Amino acid sequence: MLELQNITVLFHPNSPDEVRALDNLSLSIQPHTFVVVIGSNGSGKSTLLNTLAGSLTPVAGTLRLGGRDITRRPEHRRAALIGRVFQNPFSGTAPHLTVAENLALAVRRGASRGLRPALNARLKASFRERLRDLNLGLEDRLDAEIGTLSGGQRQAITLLMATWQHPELLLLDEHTAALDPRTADQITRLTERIIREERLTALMVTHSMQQAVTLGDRLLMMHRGRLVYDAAGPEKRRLRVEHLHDKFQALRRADLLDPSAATLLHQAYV
Amino acid sequence: MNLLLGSLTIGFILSLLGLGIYISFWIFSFPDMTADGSIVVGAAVAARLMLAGVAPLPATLAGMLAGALAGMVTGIIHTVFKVNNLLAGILTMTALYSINLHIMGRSNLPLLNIRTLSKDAAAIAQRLFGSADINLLGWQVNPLDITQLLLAGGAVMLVALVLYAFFRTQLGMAMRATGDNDQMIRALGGNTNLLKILGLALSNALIALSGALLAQYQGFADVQMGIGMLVWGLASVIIGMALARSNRLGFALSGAIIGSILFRLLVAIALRWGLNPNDLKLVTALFVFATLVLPGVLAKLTGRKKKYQTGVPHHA
Repeated sequence: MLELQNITVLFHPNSPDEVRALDNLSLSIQPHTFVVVIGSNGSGKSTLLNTLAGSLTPVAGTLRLGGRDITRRPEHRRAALIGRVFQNPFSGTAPHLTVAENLALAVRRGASRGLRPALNARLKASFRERLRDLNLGLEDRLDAEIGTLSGGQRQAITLLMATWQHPELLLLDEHTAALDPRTADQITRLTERIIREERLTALMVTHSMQQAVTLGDRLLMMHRGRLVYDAAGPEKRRLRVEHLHDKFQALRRADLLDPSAATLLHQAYV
Repeated sequence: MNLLLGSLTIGFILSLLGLGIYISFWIFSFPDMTADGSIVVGAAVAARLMLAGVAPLPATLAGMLAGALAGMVTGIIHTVFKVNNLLAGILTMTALYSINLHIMGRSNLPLLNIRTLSKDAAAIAQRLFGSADINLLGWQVNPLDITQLLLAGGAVMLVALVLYAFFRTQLGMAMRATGDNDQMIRALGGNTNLLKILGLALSNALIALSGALLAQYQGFADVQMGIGMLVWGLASVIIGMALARSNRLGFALSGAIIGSILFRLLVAIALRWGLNPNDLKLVTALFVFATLVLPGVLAKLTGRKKKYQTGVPHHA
């Protein structure tokens, strides 16, 4: 179970540019739920993921995962619980290490790293088996430098790495946005399959309305650091792209109204 | 011939410097100025201890340890106190200058009438070959020179093998990933600060070992002997990487060693041809500058992308 209580994250605190990237956000997510997060630019969805992963520290609120308070735990010490795939396909792998070496690093996610050889025949055999599962022809490229693979192949391997040790929480930050449509589709299907098979708790940020309605058990819409819409169960299943467009339109109108209303008030009272 | 053997021996000794700089600059992308100080601290500690009657081997290891400490200090200044990497190294290097003078007591320590690894090598040579020159493929060579070369070469091979094994362990591989993509290794639970501190300790331990051996080979330790050594090491490893043409660990380590030896030979030849020794550092700096800039210029001229990065670390 993931619980956020009154989480506030500030950018440039105590300056004229102060931004409330997350504004007193509370949220709880049941285990084995696949949550899709949408929102316009600057709505706080990436901030939410970065705060969960520990790259950002909230100024207020508490963060619990599986009953543990992880609010103040540094990023590298949360890694035992959290797997992560980034938007940039190059962010999740070390380009000058081989496919097998990258996977070997993921096998020790959150565990201590000692003076035992990182790779052995047994590990390599299990890598080959899991890569064959992906159906991308990667099982023969274990000893290739990852930098020589395509973005889609690297993203598939990152996904495998993030889920190798069954994380309590999987964070996906627009992880298909930088890929061509066909590859994005492939990675999306792979993502869905792994989440179902491993019964993972996952948070996926996306810009694609189509993905938002077809994927996941629950949908969160964010705006200006707050949660503005939360749909699960039958409501989520009935959701269509048009509904989401309408909601975005409404938010945009409210935004436009704010400054003009302020001007009106200003003229009326000052 | 004896000149060649001498150059090869110094080449092997300085290849430890090359390996250290390969670790800091190529693996961690860290231009570590500590090198100029840690090569001296290795020499100073070893010399001082041997003059106090400590056996050469433990004295040399103590020099290495001092280098590791220097590297850790730079690593802590950079990671914990968030000081820019170049400046962190410069701070440690500058502080080491005074520390080295304190260790040595004066600016130059001769190692004439005491036991050193070089004198030990002489004893081994005496036992193996006697005192007469030996005939090596038609050349008359001094048995001491050849023994020193074999010992230096053997030590470097041993260090290289240990490094090769180490960088394939869980810890060593996490270090390589830190330099390659630190965001990724953090997401996988690697403490990148700690990994950088350990890596710089390892790098500077090797550089200090190089200094300790060099002092014993030359017969003195000097507080000035570190000036320009980072650039010397860069030049050596750049040559090695150009030859290795691969980022793979085994190739890269061999390249760092071979490059160091080749560069030392090139310098010996240039000096013999009449290069003014005062110009040596100028020429070395120009060489490194050229290798950093030329690949980009050539790529622009030919419109081709290069397959292997040689001059600059692959991820800079």
